[in-house]
Amino acid sequence: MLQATPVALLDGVTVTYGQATALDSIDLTIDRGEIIGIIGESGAGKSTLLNVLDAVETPSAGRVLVEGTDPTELSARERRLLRRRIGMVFQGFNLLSNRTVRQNIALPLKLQRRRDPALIAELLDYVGLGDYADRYPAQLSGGQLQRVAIARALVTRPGLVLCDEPTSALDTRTTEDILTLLADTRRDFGTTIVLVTHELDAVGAICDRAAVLENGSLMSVFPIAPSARERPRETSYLAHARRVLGA
Amino acid sequence: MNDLLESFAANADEIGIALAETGFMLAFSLAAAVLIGLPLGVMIFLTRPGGAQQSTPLWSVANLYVTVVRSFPFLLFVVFLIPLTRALYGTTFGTGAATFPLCFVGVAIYARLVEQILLEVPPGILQAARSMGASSAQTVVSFLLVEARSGLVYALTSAAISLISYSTVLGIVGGGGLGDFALRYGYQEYDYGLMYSTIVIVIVCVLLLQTAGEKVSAALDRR
Ligand SMILES: Nc1ncnc2c1ncn2[C@@H]1O[C@H](COP(=O)(O)OP(=O)(O)OP(=O)(O)O)[C@@H](O)[C@H]1O
Ligand SMILES: [Mg+2]
Repeated sequence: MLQATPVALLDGVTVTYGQATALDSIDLTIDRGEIIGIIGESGAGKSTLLNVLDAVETPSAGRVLVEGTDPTELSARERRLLRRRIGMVFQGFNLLSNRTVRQNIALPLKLQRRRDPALIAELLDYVGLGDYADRYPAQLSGGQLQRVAIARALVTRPGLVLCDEPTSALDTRTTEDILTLLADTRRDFGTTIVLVTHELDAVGAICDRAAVLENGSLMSVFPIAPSARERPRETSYLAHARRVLGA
Repeated sequence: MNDLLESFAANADEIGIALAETGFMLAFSLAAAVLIGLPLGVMIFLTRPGGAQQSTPLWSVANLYVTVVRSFPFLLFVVFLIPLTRALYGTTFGTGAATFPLCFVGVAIYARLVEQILLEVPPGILQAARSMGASSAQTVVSFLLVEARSGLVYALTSAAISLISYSTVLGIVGGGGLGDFALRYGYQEYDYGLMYSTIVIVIVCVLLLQTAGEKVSAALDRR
């Protein structure tokens, strides 16, 4: 039953800011359990699309269904409750610097007056940060910070996780680790993932489909060719540098 | 030097009382700053144009209060408040009544500092709060105040030091305190030694406050 209903459905969605059109009549279905890449140049409307899916942005025209409900028909409070069922991962991690790793991961639960130390311990291990639970973000590397943010997004067991340029602040090696973690998340929890990025390699590595945005218009949605997966995983920074720079 | 020590010893009791009066005025006006100024500053931040809870009427009133109180020459503000002080305290004289106008100033100063500090919290923190479906109250308590806490403590230190300075004027309504003591027992009695040593006490108090504020603020900061 659930398998059949798409996680999200956009039908002629348009978002305008004054004169500017950020999204122009977008039709898109996001299937349960898929990883879909949203690609496009800066200003194409990628973040706006995520905000529509997160019930933050209200379309000026068109219809949205997220997890079976139309956010525009909800009260502000109901929209907040809907948002609690959707995880979000940001380019800049957006962790609280005055809270430990463990407290950051527990925060979404705390907002719902829930506690689940066992789940948090499990997630800490899942993202490979079991030994870092009591550190503060300032003591972690970029890749580790993004792992914390992913654990935080997963702690409410969301069906849908939205990632806005999650690897754009990271180096190549760390990017691959984070992408692997996202792919594992889908495999292990069945989470649907929307991956906004401008890095085509990232989309090739883990996505099932790619949607290309240009100036607010959805130009095309196509499946990822199997060959895109087959790029050898770089074993070292040196190997990566050799491949790119051709030494 | 002996003269100085002698006049100091002769006035030790008075200095002690003056110190207590300053402490009293500072404690109450700081309490007002935290209990009223902090929520007011948060409100100004949230209701500002483009803020999370934009509300022009609320913002305009709060902002006007802060601006007016902060730009009112303090001595005239004390005089301006006399009718209200009398209505509330039954008197306009003494340390208690003098604390009243100081509280207004404490609230205004701290509210403005709080607003400025909240404006410096990275926007990503608010983005995270929104994506987790945090209510307004949760956004303030579990996100904004957590990230701003060391700045808020530091700003409270600054507010305290300003309030000490403001309080020195309150001798005019019998507020007492160190400033008033230096003026009446030192300056007016031509006992400049006593005047300057009282000022030194004020400076030491400010230094202690500043150091304590810096320590607490640093201990709260994990960035
Ligand atoms: N709050 C806003 N007010 C006005 N214009 C906006 C707002 N948010 C986005 N826009 C505009 O909408 C368009 C799409 O913005 P969006 O942030 O979705 O792009 P993006 O594809 O995420 O770009 P980037 O890769 O730089 O993050 C841009 O032209 C942007 O200037
Ligand atoms: Mg963007």
